[in-house]
Amino acid sequence: MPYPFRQPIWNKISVLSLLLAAGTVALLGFMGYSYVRSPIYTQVGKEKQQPIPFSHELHVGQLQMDCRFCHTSVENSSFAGIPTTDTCLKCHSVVKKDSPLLAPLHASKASNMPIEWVRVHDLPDHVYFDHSIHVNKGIGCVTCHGQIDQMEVVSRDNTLLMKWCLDCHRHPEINRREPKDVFDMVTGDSGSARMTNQAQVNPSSDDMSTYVRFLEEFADKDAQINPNQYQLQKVNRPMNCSACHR
Amino acid sequence: MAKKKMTIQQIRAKLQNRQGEKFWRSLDELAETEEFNQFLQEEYPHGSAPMTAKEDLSRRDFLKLMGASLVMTMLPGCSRQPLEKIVPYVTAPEEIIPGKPLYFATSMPFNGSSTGLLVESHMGRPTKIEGNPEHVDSLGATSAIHQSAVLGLYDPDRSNQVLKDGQADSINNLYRFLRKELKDSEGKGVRILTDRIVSPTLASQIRQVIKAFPGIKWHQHEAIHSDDARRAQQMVFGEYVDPIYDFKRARTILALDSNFMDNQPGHLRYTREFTARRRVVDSDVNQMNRLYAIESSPTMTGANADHLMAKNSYRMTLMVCALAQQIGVKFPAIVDGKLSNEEIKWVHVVAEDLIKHRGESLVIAGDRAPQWVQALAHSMNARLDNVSRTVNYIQPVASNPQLLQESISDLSQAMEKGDVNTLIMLNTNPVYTTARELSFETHLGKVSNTVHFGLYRDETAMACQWHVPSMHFLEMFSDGRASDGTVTMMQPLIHPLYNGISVHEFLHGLISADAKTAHDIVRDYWKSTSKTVDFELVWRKALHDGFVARTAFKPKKVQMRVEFAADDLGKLNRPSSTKADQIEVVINPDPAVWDGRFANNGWLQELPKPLTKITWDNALLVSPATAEKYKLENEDMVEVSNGKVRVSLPVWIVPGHCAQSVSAYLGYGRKHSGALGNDKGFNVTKLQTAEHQWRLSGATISKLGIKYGLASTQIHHSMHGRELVRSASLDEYKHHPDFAHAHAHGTQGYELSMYPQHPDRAPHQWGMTVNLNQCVGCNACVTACQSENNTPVVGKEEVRRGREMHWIRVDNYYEGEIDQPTTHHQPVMCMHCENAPCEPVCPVQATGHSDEGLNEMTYNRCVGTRYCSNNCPYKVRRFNFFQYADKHSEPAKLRSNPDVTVRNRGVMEKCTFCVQRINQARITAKKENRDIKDGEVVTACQAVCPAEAISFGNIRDPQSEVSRLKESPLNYGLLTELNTFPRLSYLARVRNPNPKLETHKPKAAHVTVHDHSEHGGGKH
Repeated sequence: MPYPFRQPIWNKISVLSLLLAAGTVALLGFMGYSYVRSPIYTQVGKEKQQPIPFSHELHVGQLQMDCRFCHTSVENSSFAGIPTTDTCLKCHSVVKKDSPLLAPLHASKASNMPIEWVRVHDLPDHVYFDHSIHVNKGIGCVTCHGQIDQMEVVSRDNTLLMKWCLDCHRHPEINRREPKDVFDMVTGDSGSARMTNQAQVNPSSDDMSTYVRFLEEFADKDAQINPNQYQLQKVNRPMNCSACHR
Repeated sequence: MAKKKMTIQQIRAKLQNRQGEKFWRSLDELAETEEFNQFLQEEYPHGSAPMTAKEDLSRRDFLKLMGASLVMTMLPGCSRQPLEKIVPYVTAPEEIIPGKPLYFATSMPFNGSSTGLLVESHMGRPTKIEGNPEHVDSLGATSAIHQSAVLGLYDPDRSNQVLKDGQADSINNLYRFLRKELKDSEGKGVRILTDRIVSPTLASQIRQVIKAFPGIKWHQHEAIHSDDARRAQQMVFGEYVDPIYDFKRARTILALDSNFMDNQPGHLRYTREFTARRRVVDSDVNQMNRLYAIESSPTMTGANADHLMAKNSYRMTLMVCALAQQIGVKFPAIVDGKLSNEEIKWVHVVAEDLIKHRGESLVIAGDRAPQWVQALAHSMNARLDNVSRTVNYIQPVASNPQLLQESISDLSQAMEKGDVNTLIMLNTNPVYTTARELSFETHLGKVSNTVHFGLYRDETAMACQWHVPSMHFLEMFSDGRASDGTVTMMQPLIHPLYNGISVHEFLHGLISADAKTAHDIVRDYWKSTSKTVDFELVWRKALHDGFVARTAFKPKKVQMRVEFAADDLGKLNRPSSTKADQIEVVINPDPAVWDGRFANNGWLQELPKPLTKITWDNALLVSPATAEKYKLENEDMVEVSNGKVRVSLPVWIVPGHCAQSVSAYLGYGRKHSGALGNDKGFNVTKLQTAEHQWRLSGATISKLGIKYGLASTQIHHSMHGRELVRSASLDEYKHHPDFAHAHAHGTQGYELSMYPQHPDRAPHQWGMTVNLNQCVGCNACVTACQSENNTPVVGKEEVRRGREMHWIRVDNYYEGEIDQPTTHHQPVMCMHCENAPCEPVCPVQATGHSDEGLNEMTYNRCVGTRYCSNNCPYKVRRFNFFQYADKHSEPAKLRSNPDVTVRNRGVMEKCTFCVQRINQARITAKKENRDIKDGEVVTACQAVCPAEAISFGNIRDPQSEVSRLKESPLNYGLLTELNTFPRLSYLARVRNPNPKLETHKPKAAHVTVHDHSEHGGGKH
């Protein structure tokens, strides 16, 4: 049945423009979301040029240097530590002494002015992260920083978004490894494989019940995990806001 | 609705007829003034002023405003992370691990002694001051003044260059000039003016200078001095001594105008020892001490007394004479007059109590108490066999003790006569702090060479030819002595920020052209006095510990007079009675800014002063009776006259103030203190005369008819007359140990809550207790919290709007009549409720609950609705209305605690139970694969408390201290009838009044349950 009246054209225009406006808002929202999640914003894979083109690929990958040789306070302090000029000069006062690439290093020593490195893994200022507890409780460097030993120029391997932190705090067992393997550059999968070799933990123990309760509380319903599948060490990672924000 | 203000008489009548509620917070509350009601009703008074001002706001304007606000709130979110640099050291300094603080022992010289401190340093930046637990004057505690020193260090208004006639010059030019001057004159006509010197090295250096140039005269000046005490000592002992009290052994204490809990040498130890016998909960209540006090001006000590007599100096002297006679001191009549019946009874009972506890009693008179009162106090201690039991006498801690007032008068006269050619002033500001009749500034003009050495380019520096910037004590090597003479070390925490020069190097520069560092000067001095072979070991240990053990002065054997003859009478001042139209003005140092030296310290300026809660100003404190007599209200301007000089001041009425005196405070009205302190308050120094520094008996006051706005926090954050403070006498406590629960309203339980109980998963459940028996209301916790948690300073205008940001406040409550009330202090911070009312109302979950029972605040989520604050019954949340925190200036950045976020505008904040310290302890414990020990987490307020009133720990562990305290019958929570289940609870106050002096029998309300049906919700 036809309408008794003919609709005026401007009605259509206004309906259309309303729809269009709603669509634009939705699109803008979606674009904003995509932007925040995209590497443009999270800077995953974005290589940053440093004052000295230091190669982790060479030092860690080929020369097999331990992370702690330069990042000295990673086990003791919240801050992993960046090598002092002297640390570099331990070798480079002899090795490749005259390389033009190392000129800023010698200049730093001569002028007693530090080298200003560009921060790659930069958490927002309202996040208080502590390296020492993660390293001490079996979270490997590679888990967060990626395969540094293959990076000529270091870039972020992970988004460093809060979701990414929480994913691990919800299921730390996936990433935990034995203390001796923490500084290994082997990737996460084989890391967790190591955990399965450990002694069984009695599922009725306190730890286990805490864990089960934790799962009920926080874990994604779809991602229910059978606790017996994992070999749990005593791990009581905080899930509170104040663990990181204060 | 304008309500007519109640007169003080009406308030009195109202109080007498009042039933049930026995505590009140302010006269405004009792009078129900409009302002008070407004403060009570509005969460943030004046907050909505811009909207309500424009009453004809149209719908269109409203939408415009809302749209603009929306855009503006969204825009700050559209920022990208800036590129940051990491700057490592070139050569790693020994011991510094980036991210971990180090603690260094040092000390702060203040008011004639040095207090040992531990200073937290983050990669070379001192950020927080703690007490040195092993130091005799600290025992781990500090005062608000110590806490604020770290802010003073970074003060951008500190002087930063050597000046000659206002032009930059070099220190070497000055050294050359002075050396030539000294050599030519051989010291004749050269005077050195210093503050009281407690540094043995500095004293030896001054003596060296005088030895090299024998003509030099050394004068001392400090605004707050103890000349009256020295005169009294001269009378009783025939020499100068410093008394050391032992409150551990004192059972009955009589304080005469003595504020031994606040800012006098040894006060932290005295407070610790005094309150240790008043814990009640885990100490023998039969050993509880009893404090009587007579005071002419309200102090913290008086507020904590079991019996307080507020009397002016004349009546105080009368009473003390009567008391001394009963105790057996012999002397002719010192003042004429008769005691009232009430006074006679009081004196009799107190004398009886003191004699009963012979050998474990103590009479302590303040340094500024009337001279005869002090002399008689010493003699009474001798008669009561207290000497070498509760009081010992040692040689004076300050070097070269003298009468400071005489010293500065001599100097002033010499300058007037033209005898002074060169005047060198070290760390003193006489142009501001000397009595006006000395005309110090005028006479200074007659001195040809004037040198000022100090932290600031202050009033004296402006009047001097030369000015030398001094190092702050956190920047320099020095030494000092604790109140008992223990040698105390001072070492630098940071390289001088503002080109400061060490006072040791400056004095060295006067006699030698060879540069020598302060470190070497101090070390060489001690090396020359030391007899040990391995001096290096002793020196290193001293620097590490902050003091040298077993260097306290040995108690002196003293000859004390207990009889005085008629010809002694004239040697000490005798107060005369005040005429009816006159009043005694008692002049005191300000509890926060002291003699004005801390006037540029924002933390101290904004610290609500004990009892009045006034910030940023000084006022004339008057009693309700005086206010009635002169028809005064709060904030009325009055003119105080001592006959020659008149000073205008605003009035503040203090319940319990002595009716025959009024109190004025020094330290305000500065002209050249720096941006924060200039022109704040009123200069009371003008009222002082050379002879009468502390009390002007014949002063008059007259009302000016104008008002001056004071920023007092007394009525802010009121919880509206509920049973917040609970208190009983010792007898009542013995009969009804659970008196604190007699007021319980209704039943409570989780079953009454609509929300599910928080599952307590975590093994640690944090809780706190505050023992009201021990809290003396000293405010140290307020500043400690401010320092630890980067709490900003907001300024006077914002405080007047109720926007002060302190996370912890110390509420005053009064009980009883307005003329003689009992005062109670109650520190209030976030209660960390298990059923926190703030949590469900947050639309963005910025405030939530941790599984350890903390009520968390996540700043980055907060959008500033302030619903949480509206819903908080305890009024402990603070909102950043503006960008209060300084995020950009270098000094502020350096000072901030890197472990705590510096908050932005538009964000709510509150006490976190020092979650950064909890996290740190948890991480440390986990790394060592152990549990967090009881006492391992110490909150900032707990650490600083000289009275050990605050306990913090895991309430899930029944063995922890806090669990044990919470088991006490005294334990009660605030507003528990609201079902909030606060994690912070209080231990009710038990006082120890003498039953013989109890004027009113305990009311039934103390111990029986009343039906408060108007509070609703409760079932009995």
